[in-house]
Amino acid sequence: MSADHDRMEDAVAAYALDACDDEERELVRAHIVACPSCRALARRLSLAVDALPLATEEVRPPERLRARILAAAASTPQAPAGGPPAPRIVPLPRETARRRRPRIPAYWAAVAALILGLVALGAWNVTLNQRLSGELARYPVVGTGTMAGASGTVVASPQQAVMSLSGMPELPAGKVYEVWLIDAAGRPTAAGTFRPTADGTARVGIDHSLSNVSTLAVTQEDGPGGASAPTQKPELAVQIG
Amino acid sequence: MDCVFQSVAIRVMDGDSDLELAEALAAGEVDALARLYDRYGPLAYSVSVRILGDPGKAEDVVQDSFLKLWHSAARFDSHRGSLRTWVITAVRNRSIDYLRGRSAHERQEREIPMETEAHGAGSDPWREVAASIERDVIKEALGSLPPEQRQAVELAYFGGYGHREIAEMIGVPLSTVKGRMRLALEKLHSYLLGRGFLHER
Repeated sequence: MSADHDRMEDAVAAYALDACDDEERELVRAHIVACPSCRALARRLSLAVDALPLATEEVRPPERLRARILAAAASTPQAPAGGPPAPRIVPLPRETARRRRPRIPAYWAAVAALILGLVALGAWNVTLNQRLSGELARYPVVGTGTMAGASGTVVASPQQAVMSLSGMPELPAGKVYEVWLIDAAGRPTAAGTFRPTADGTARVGIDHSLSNVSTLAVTQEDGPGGASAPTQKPELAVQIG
Repeated sequence: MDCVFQSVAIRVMDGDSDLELAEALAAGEVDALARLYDRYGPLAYSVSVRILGDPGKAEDVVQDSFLKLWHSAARFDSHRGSLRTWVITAVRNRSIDYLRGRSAHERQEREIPMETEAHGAGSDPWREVAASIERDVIKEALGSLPPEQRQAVELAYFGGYGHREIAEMIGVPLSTVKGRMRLALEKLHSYLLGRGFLHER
C-alpha cells in the first residue's frame, strides 16, 4: 500500500489548492481520514492556501454592494437550520482596565527576575525588533520555564499592537493569563486578561502605544479579573524598548 | 509616583469572536451579516476581481456568495477553518464557477491593472494591523518562490485551473506540477509559521 500512499501524498498539495480531478479529490479526502501524516500535511498546506487571498491587490467595493446584500438578506429570512447547531463557547472577558498601582515588593522581585531571565536568554538586544514596512515594528515573544513551549509575535503600530501567541499551556481552573506593560523603571501596568483557545493560541489587541513600554509580559493569575501586580515571575515576555 | 498609564485595555481577537459572529448569523441577525461584510467583504471583493478581472461581475458574485453564506450560517464549522476562510472559499468557488462558464479561448491568465485603496473607515483597526502584516508576509513569501512554483500556485488558486490543465498549459509532466505546488505551499507555510501567523507546533 506504500505506492498508493505515495500517490496520495503527492496529490495533497493539489487537493489543498482545489486543483484535483473530482475522483482524485474523493480518494485524497478518504486517504487523509486514515493517514495521520497526510492529514498533517494537508493541514499545513491548507493553512498556506488560506493566506493566499491576501496576496491580492486591495480593491474597494462600491458602496452600494453592502446595501444590496443587507437589503436582500433582510427580505429573505433564514431557512430552517438543516445542519448541526453552531458550538457554544464560554464568552471570555473582553476588556479589563486597571488604574491602581501595584504593591512594591512582589512586583520588583518578579520584574528583577524577569530582567535577569531575559539577559540570560540573550534577549536583551534591541536589534531583535525588526522594522516592517511603514511604521510597524515586530517583536518576538519568548517563553521560558513552564512557558517554554509558547511562542509568538507582537506587531506594533504607533498607537496599538497585536500579540499573537501559540503553544500556550492550558490554564488551571479559575486562572487566567494576564498581560503586563512594564516601563523602563520596572513598573508593571496591568493590561487585561485572556484565555487561549482550545488549540493553545490567542490573539490579543493592545489598545495602547508601546512607545513607553520596556517589556511586555504575561503571567497566570487568578481569574476572572486577574491581579493588580504580577504574583509570579513572568515566563513569557517580549523585549520592546 | 503616578502610574505611567492611565488605563489600558486589551481586546481578544479572532477565535471565539468568529464563533459568536457565526452564531449571530445563524440566528438571523442581519446586523451580524453587516459585520461579516465589513470584516471580509473588501477582501472577498478583491479576490473575486482578481479571479474574474471584471469588477461588475465580481460585485454580483460577492452579493450571491454573501447571501448563500447567510442562509447556510448554521453549517459553519470552526474546526474546519476560520470564518475568513469560509467567506473567501465561497467567493472564490463562485468566481471560478463563473469563470469556467466563459468560452475556452477567453480563459487565460491576464495582467489586470487595478487601483489600490485602503480599507474603508468602518474596518476594525485590530484586524487592519494584523491583516496588513499578514499581507506583507504573504507577498514577501510568494516573491521568494521560484517563478515556476509561484506560477503553479497562482494558476490553481486564482485561475481555477486543475493540475492537468496546468501541466498541459505549461508543457511539463503532471508530477512536476504537483511537486511545484507542494514545494510552494510548504515554503509559504514555513514563512507564515516563522512570523507567528500560524497557530500550530
